[in-house]
Amino acid sequence: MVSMIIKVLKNLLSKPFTSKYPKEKAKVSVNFRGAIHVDQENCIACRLCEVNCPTGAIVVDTKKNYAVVDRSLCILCGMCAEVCPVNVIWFSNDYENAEKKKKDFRKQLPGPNPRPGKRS
Amino acid sequence: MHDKIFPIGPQHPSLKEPIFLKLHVDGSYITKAEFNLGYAHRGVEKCAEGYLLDTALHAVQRTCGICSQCHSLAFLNAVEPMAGIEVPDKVYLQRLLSAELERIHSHLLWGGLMAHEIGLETLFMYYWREREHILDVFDDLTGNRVHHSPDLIGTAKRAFNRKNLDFILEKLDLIEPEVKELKEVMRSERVITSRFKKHGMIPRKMAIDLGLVGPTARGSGVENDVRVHDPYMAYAFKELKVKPVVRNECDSWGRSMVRCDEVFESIGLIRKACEMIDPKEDVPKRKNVFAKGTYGRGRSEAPRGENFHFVKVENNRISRIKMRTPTLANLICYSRIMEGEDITDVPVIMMSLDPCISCMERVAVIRNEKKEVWTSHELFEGKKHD
Repeated sequence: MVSMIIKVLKNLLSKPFTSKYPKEKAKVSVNFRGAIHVDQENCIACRLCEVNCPTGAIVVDTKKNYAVVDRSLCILCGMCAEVCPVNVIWFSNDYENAEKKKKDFRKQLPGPNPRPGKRS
Repeated sequence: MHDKIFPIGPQHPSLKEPIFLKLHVDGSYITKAEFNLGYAHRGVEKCAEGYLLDTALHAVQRTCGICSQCHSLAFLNAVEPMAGIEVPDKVYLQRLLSAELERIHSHLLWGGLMAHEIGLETLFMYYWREREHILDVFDDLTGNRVHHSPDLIGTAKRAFNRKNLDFILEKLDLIEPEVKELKEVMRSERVITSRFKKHGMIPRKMAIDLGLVGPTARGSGVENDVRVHDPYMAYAFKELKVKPVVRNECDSWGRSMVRCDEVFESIGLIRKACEMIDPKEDVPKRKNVFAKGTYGRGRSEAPRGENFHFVKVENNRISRIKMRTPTLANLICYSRIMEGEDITDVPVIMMSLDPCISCMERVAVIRNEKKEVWTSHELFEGKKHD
């Protein structure tokens, strides 16, 4: 009973455990796998990512010679980044990946890999 | 005698997952219980057919959201001896860390849901607040909070460093006293004990006869734990011997206390494993895997019990994979356990078994009066040949 009262008083005086999400950004770690990016300029179209993708989300465009991702199918397993020989596929810390229209998931998020030596 | 049928589910506020319970009641007492399944078939096994081994690993992990690491361990137990790969100790220890953290997170999740079923919403919040710390640890270690997929065949995606290990220990120090207090609340609160004690009885003999697994069997005095009687990976190390938590109460209370105590057992294991890991050592790089054998089978201890995988490989691709999740083994006791109970106790008894129905669902065959058998070819085509 005494411990309960102490706990109640503590919880009254302390800050809430939850964060005010839309106003306040959520904290994620450095290794967090968020949105998938492909640096299409440096892609060598070797198709290893296509072969290793469990859901078929990543497909190599044979005419343009780079990988194209459908982010609505991606399950963020990180297998493509693991097998990529030139490290052009990477995951940013961006966790807000919802889109209003289905075709917006095929919009590519390009950009060079900020951690080129490291895996996923 | 007024025999009436009382339906619960497949969509019902007291059920978290789709199962249809058909309760024959006399007044408010249950005389007979039946259940129907087949409302959430996802087809992970079919999906994994034709995949490369590494890719199939990531598909298999998606079977369950709560125990994804344990599915991956069972699959690796099947595949790694088949491919003849030697795995370094550090990788084994990293896998143990993920698996045991997952056990803590699963049991805390169960505690919250149990409190929710009884109606103690505040206790539910307290349990899930502690669970949030474990999810933060997963985010830091592996990069994802729920489907963390840290494994590759023969190695891991990244090596844990000193900072990661310190973060784990820091969070464990934070949650241990809190979980102890929550257990004390469970032990002393009359509302909880009166709903649990002497309800949902599974005698020891019945648990052995039906072949129950996991905390459900351990709550009935059966020492059934894959980590002990068939140690795999890091559980086979001398320093990391698991002491199974066994209780002899045989009721919902026994099963609940087993889960509460297992959290502390897991915390102890993680502390020992953190000491054994060399933070400076790197894990080997990923290699392409070639399976030499054709068949493999693996087991692992998921938070709910024994998890079994059978893998068949042809031309280095998966040709058949069969999973048996712990809920399938425990499902058989559902109709027996409900007999003679009051109808208001059904949600609590269901929760004390910790069902994970959607992971267990494999195939739905609807029977009319005749028995129907579908071959795998017919299932693939989706129609029955005569």
